[in-house]
Amino acid sequence: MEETTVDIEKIMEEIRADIAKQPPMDIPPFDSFVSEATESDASFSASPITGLLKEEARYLREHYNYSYDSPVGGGIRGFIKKVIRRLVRCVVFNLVAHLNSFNFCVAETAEVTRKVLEGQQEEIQQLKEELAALRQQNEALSEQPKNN
Amino acid sequence: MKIVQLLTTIAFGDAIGNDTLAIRDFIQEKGYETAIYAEGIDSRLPAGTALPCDEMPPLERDDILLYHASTGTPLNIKQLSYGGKKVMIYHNVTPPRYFSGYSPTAEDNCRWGELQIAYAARYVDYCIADSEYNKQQLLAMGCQCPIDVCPILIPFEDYEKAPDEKLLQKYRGDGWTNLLFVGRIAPNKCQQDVIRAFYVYQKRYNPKSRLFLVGNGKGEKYQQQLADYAEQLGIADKVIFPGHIKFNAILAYYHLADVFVCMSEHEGFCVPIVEAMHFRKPIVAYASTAIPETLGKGGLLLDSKDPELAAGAINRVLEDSNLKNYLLSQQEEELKRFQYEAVKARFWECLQKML
Repeated sequence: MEETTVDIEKIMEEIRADIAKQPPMDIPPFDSFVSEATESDASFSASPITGLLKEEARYLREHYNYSYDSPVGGGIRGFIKKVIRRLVRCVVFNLVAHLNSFNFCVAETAEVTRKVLEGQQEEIQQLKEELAALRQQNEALSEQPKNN
Repeated sequence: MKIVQLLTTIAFGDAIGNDTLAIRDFIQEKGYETAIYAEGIDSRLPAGTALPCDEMPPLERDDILLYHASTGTPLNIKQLSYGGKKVMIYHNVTPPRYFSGYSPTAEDNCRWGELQIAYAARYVDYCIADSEYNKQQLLAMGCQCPIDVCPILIPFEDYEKAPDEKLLQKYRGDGWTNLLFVGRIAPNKCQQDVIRAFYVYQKRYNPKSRLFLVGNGKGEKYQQQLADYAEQLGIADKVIFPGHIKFNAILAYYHLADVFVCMSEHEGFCVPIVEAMHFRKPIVAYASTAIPETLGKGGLLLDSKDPELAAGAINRVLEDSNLKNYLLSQQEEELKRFQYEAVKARFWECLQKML
């Protein structure tokens, strides 16, 4: 059976040319459905305490990993260092792996702790606002003349 | 010598779950002792399919641990402390930005997953990536062990099972054109762009058409937004979300489809594209991440998300029988890469490096 070859690039050009001849369609963007959660999340990062912790947590995440294989340089000195590294590798490598694993868990814990604090900050703020509103109501009630 | 598989959750019917089961069967065929261990085991799986992680026995030096990495979990790090030779099968982690505004939990999970897997990749003995795209990601993460590419094992014989007859009767033969996308309802899969392409297609080319968005997303904010979007566009009655359905229903949707449309922005492999090729459905897909690699010449690749371009391509593929037949013949060639025996042979080639 004779194989038909089709020029895909040409077909795509034809499709584009056909579209260009037609009036463009005005389609409402999907982004108009931005969720409310996105907007309220922005307030968390503005908190002074958790704002600071954010930097610390980020530093931990970016620097938790200790590299065993840092450069040793060239020459005889470099050669001797490489030999020593090779000899102690079986002990040191495992230690480094465990250390990095522990560091990683610390970084993870810091991030989780930061998020818990963020949530509590927001809760405290909400309670403060409710308290202020209740105090205002109380003052307004106590200023009203008594009708008897 | 044992060859065991470890993963955080083995789900029923998803690509990684099926891959895990297929690998288990293959290892058993080769005569090795094997088992699957997971933190979460889908109750729909037959009893004994997988065992809890805690029950995994200590591994000897010559044993092999195949770890499936696909999401954020402490297991990504913990697996390094188990004995045996470590092989990481990397399925890719969805970039966290896709869940921003939808699910802080999923966003965090993915963010940690990227960090954890980048860490683990430096300490495993060997990596197997589902695609060249995934391999390049591992290299970018600093992975220094050997990495080979081996596609996901897809049990094609399962697709020969009988499709849901009621569904076929409901939609077949009514003269309507059916567009299909199969994939979890998730922001990275960009079902909203499939809806936009469909909107143009049914308005400009063919009003007698419908769109099936097959995948689980019930209760998720994103799915509700998709439904609201379809409502706003005036096509809610033509966009069908079947939800979490049985396998025979998924088969029915593939049988009913006239064209498969994918506008996903992030895929580590994309099994549904291979499935669409198996069912001989013409494919129109946005060229992102691993999709061009999986699709090859088996479909029309779009270089932009322009819904008019997508709709034009869909219409062309359906109207131009020369083009359609050409793409279907190319699909037959591309499918050879994913045939079960071919992938098994490739996987065995990879595994032998650890034996």
